[in-house]
Parts: sequence; structure tokens; C-alpha cells
Amino acid sequence: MPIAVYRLLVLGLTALAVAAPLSLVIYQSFLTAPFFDSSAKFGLLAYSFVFADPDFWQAFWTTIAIAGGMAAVAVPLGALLAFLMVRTDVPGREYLEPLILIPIFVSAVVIAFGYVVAIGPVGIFSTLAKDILGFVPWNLYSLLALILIAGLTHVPHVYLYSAAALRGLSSDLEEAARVSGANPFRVAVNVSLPMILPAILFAGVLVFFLGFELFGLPLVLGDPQDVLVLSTYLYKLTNKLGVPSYQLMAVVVVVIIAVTAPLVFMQRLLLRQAQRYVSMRGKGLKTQPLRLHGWRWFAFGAIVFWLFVTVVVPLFGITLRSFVVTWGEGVKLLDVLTLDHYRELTEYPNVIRGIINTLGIGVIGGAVAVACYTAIALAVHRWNSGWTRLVDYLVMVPRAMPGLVAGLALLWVFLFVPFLSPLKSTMVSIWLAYTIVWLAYGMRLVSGTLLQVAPELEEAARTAGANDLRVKRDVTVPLIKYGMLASWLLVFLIFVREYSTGIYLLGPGTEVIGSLLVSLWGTGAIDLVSALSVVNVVMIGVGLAVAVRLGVRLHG
Amino acid sequence: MAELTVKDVALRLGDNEILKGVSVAVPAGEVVALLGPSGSGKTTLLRAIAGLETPYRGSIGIGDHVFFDAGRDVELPAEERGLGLVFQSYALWPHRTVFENVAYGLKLRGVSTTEIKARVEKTLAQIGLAHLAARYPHQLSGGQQQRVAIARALVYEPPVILLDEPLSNLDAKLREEARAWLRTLIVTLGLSAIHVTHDQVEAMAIADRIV
Repeated sequence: MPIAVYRLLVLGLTALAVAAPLSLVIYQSFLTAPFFDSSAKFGLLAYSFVFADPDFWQAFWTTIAIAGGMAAVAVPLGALLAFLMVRTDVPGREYLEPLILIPIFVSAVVIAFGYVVAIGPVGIFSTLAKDILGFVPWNLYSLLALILIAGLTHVPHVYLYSAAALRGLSSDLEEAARVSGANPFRVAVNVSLPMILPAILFAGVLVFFLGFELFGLPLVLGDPQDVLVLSTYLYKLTNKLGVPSYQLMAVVVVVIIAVTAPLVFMQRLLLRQAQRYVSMRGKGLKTQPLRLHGWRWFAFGAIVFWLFVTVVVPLFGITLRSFVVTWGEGVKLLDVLTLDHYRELTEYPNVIRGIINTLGIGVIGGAVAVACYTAIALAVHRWNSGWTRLVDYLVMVPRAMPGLVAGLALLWVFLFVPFLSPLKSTMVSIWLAYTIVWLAYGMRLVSGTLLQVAPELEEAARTAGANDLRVKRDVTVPLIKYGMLASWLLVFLIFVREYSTGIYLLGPGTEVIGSLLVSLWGTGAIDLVSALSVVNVVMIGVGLAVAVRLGVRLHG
Repeated sequence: MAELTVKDVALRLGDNEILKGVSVAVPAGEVVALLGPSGSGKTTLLRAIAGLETPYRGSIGIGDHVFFDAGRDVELPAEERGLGLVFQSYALWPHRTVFENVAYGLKLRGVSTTEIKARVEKTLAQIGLAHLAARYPHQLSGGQQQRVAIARALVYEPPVILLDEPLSNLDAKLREEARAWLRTLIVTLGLSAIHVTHDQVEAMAIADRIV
């Protein structure tokens, strides 16, 4: 097979996988009824209906407020955290680093459940506070709490990009400020952080964008007070009218994509700018950590406090809840301890299937997904052509579709295309949705690995007589084996964590832990939810431990 | 074996005009050194001959066998030119042993396993590395790696072998030895070669002719 055929095949399939769901959604949004309904006609009826709904506008503005609010919380904290971790002598940095990244890898619904059982109205910490103070000094079910929690759990995203930029900064600039009389905090705010502004700006846009993808947190924390964001509005739309109102859902999806697509594009521009900023600085940097002296333990305490609030509180809460019969005021821990919830898990065949399916989608699905990402990356690797630009954009498209939306769009594709229908109720549909949703992420992992292959190694094989495909098979792929393995691990973590993509595809045979959690939460089965959450966290914990053990970099 | 001819080759990389109409002829059995300061386009010319860069003007070929002709829109991909190229960085495949590195070109040509074994062993013996066949490249010294790289390019008996500063990564003493060794090897095997270098002494020691 000549290389041109291979490229055509791979790019054609990618384009199809990316464009089909998107075009179906847009097509559906201009119909007056679901696409399978024979009375459906073209028209803007769905748009005028949605835009006339005050709830929609309420959700729209709430989403903007939450996205902006969480960026306002996460960006300064994340940048400061990066400064402390990268540029100063805060104690125990090497142990803190993997802990800091935990919120990225734990499912947002699990974190949300954790907060409810820990600091909700009758949560573990709330009852404790009431015993001591006589009242609960916080209210979890408020917009402010939602913004704060969303912000705190997204600090690691800002941290990652700021830390990468800070590592490329020479330390004499900071020392100069220190000598001039600035304390470490002033050094960070006046010197170091302004120098990495492009990276921080990028992280800010990223977090704002992730605010539009938020689903688990607003679903769990916003629901009791009727706070809707666009994604939860979309989720509730099905129940609201009682009939499948696909055209209305499609309109909401189009609105979401209309906001996220420019944000994705903007991130791309900003990232390129930020990278240029970093690469401008030469080699041989002097990176003496800034000595904090008296501030050392204060800074350490601040980081540990943040970890306590964002990691320990929810995870401890959900774990403890999974081992007790009930919780409330005046309950003694020793009286209520139980393993029943875990035993109960085994009594539900769909839960058992969900656990097996989740492992399967992580291990097998993850491997096949990495193979697909590699196939695409190899097709454009060392290809001197304008088409590679098109592939770049193609890969970015699914990024603009939050998991919930992509899952919905995929469901429609499976309903719409007759010969695909039998696959709808198999794990193939879940795998396809996951693989498409994480296309940009996976491609970044694999391309990063490919960049490390020296071109001469491939050219040497060319001159020895191997054609393009043979070179890829005999030289390129064997050389990126380790990188592919690392990508597989990261994709495993993400597939196991994923919850929103599988929601619309959930049915007998396609259960995964994430979507099961959301649906079980809806029925109020908190015992099951907490036990299943712990199972999910344990899977991710094992994956993370293996990754750290093998020295896999936890970010692309 | 016929003569390698490069006629009026011009090549651009980005906006840089690297080659502005270069012509070289290498008669069979002759060693030609391309001598010039760094950045003068020697390596680029070598890569164009090997088929790794595409000129926009001129022609390249051996005898009647045309590799490249901008006028007639002919361009043979690198793998179909059958040349041997030794990279400045050696470019040994780190995931293959010395034996597998050298054998790869023969394997691609569909040579039988027994014959591959015989020919690789013969070539490794010629370069004095027969005892290191099972090692991986990172277990070899710089000088040994360089010899493996040469063996890899020689084993399928290319009409011309292209050497891109193969001695530049060796230290001074080793380089002198390698120079003599390389010259002897090329002459005994009766090869044609293009040898790129920026070192005048090296060029004079190895080549029949300097361009």
C-alpha cells in the first residue's frame, strides 16, 4: 500500500468521525422535529423556542458567571502555586507534585459527591462544625460555593502551564528583586509571574473554557437550589417536555459549540505565543530556588491547606460515607460502620457490568484509542504538505464539544445511520465517543513522542531502501514504543475517569462507572454511589501509582 | 559502473537559496571530496543526491539511470536510488543490534536469511567489528559506531556511497586512524564515494579529487 493511500484512508476516516456528529447536530437544530420524525421540516422554530425560554438565558448567564468566577479563583492560585513549587525552596516539593495533580485525574462527579457528603447540610464535617460551633459556617448549596469549588479544583490546570513556563525563567531576575528589598510574595507578583504572562493568559482562557464543559459539579451541587448551567439545562431538557425534543437539544448544543469553538481557537493561538515566549530564552539557565526563610512553612501550610480542601475533604468524605450505614447529627462512627454497600454493589448486574466495562474501556479501549491516535499522527508525521494544517484543525474540532454533547451527538449518529444502529448498545459506541472526545489530547501525547525521533534515523532507513510505510513500521513505531505505553496509561486514566460522555449512551451493555454514578445519583442511591465512587477512585489511584512508578510525565 | 552526474542543481530551503546551480561528476571507482566551510550547502547537496531534499532545477543520475530531472519531472524516492549514505550523527537505530542495523538493507532487498548472515558477517569482519554483532549501538564507542554506520551503507553494495562528515564526531587521534582506514577500505572495495568535509587535510588524505 503506498503512503498516499494510507494517508487518504486515515484522514478520511478521521474527518468522517469528527464531522459526522457535528453536522448531524447542526442539521437537527434546523429541523422542527426530531430527525426520525417524518413530520420534521426545515425551520428556525427550535431556535425561537429555546431563545424564548427564560430558563435558557438564566443558564447561559450562570454558565458565564461560573466560568469567569472559577477562572478568577484558579488563575491567581494556580500561578502562585507554580511559583512556590518551581521557584522556591518550599519543603517536600517532590512529594507534593503528584498530589497537586490529583484533582485533574479524579472524576468531577466523585469530587462533587464527596463535597455533598463531607460539607453538605448534614455532611461529616458540617455535623462536626455544628457540634463545636453550634452552627454550620458554610452553605454548600450556593452559587458562591459552586464557583469556589470549581475554581479550587481547576488550580492544577493553571499550575501545569505556569510551572512549565516558570521552569524556563532565569533566576537572577528574581534575585535582583530580592536584593532590592522585595519579599518572596512581591517577587512572584512583580517579577516572575509577569514574565510568564502569556502562559497564565492561556491557562485563564483554558479554565474559562473548561467552565463551559462543567457538568458534574453543577449537576450535583447546583440542583438542590435550581441553579442550571448550559450543560445541566441540556441534560434536563429531555425530562422537561416529556417527549424527545432533539431539535431543542441540538440548538443548545449549537449554542455551546458557538461559544467553545472560538475559545479553542484562541487557546491555540495563545499556546503558540506562550511557547514562543519560553523558547526565546536560551540554554544554561541558572535556576537557584528562591529561599523563603520564614515564609517556607507558611507557604507549605498554604499548599497543604489547599490540598486538604480540594482533595482530602471530598475523597475522605466519600470514602467514609461508603463504609457507614447512615450519617447525621449525633451518630457515633463505631455504631454505623459497615461493608454492606460494597456487598450491595455485587447484587446489581448492571453495576458489575459497569465496573468490568470501565476496566475494559480503560485497558483495551485505551490501547485501541492510542493505536488510532498513533495511526493519525503517523499519517501526518514528516509530511511536507498543507494538508497537515487541515488535520491540526480537524483534531481540534471535538475539543469544542464537551463530553455530554459529544455523547449525545454520537447517539444520534448511531440512530441516524441504519447500519450502525446495532452497535449502539455495545461498548463500541462508548469507545468511539471517548476516542473522539479525547482526540486532541491523545494526538498531543503521541505527537509529542514522535517529535523526539531524530529525522536521520528515518532518513537512514529511506536510503537503505525502505519506503515510507516500511520506515514507519520498522523505525518510527519501534522508537516511540515507550511513549505509546505512557500515552496508553494516561488515556487509561482519562477513560476510567470519564463520566459525561457516556450519559446519553447509557443502556444495558454500555454501562460505565461514570455514567452509572450520574444516573444512580438521580435515584438517590447514595450508599451505592459512594461505594462505586470509591471503586472508581481506587482504579484511578492504581493507574496513577503505576504511572508515577514508571516515571511517566503526568501531563502531555 | 557508470558515472554519477549532478548537473546544475539548485535548491531552496524555505527562503534560503542553498544551492545555486551545482555540477559534479564522480566517475566509477573514484573518491571525490566536497570541501567547503560549514553552511556552504555540502550536506544539502549530498541529501539531494540521496533523495532526501528536492531541488527545483537540474538533474541527478548514474549513467543512464535518472534519479532526478526537474525538466522532465522525474523524481525517484530515496529508497529506490539504492545509494549508501553515512550520516554525520551515524543515525544508528537504537532499537536494533549492530547485526540488525547492518542487515536491514539486505532484508529490504529480500535476501535470504542465510545469505544475509553471511554477507553481514563478511562486512562486519571487513570493518573489524565481527565480535560486536550482538551489541546495541549505545554499547559501542564513537569510533565503533562510525564503522557500523559505514558497514550499514556498504553491505548492499551501492554504486556510490555518500559520506557526510563521517569523521567529525571522532577525537583528533582517532580521526587520523579512521581516515587511513576509510581510504583503504574504499580503495580495496573499488567503490565510488562522495565525501563531505570541512577539513582540508581530511579531504586530501581520502579523496582522489577535491571539489
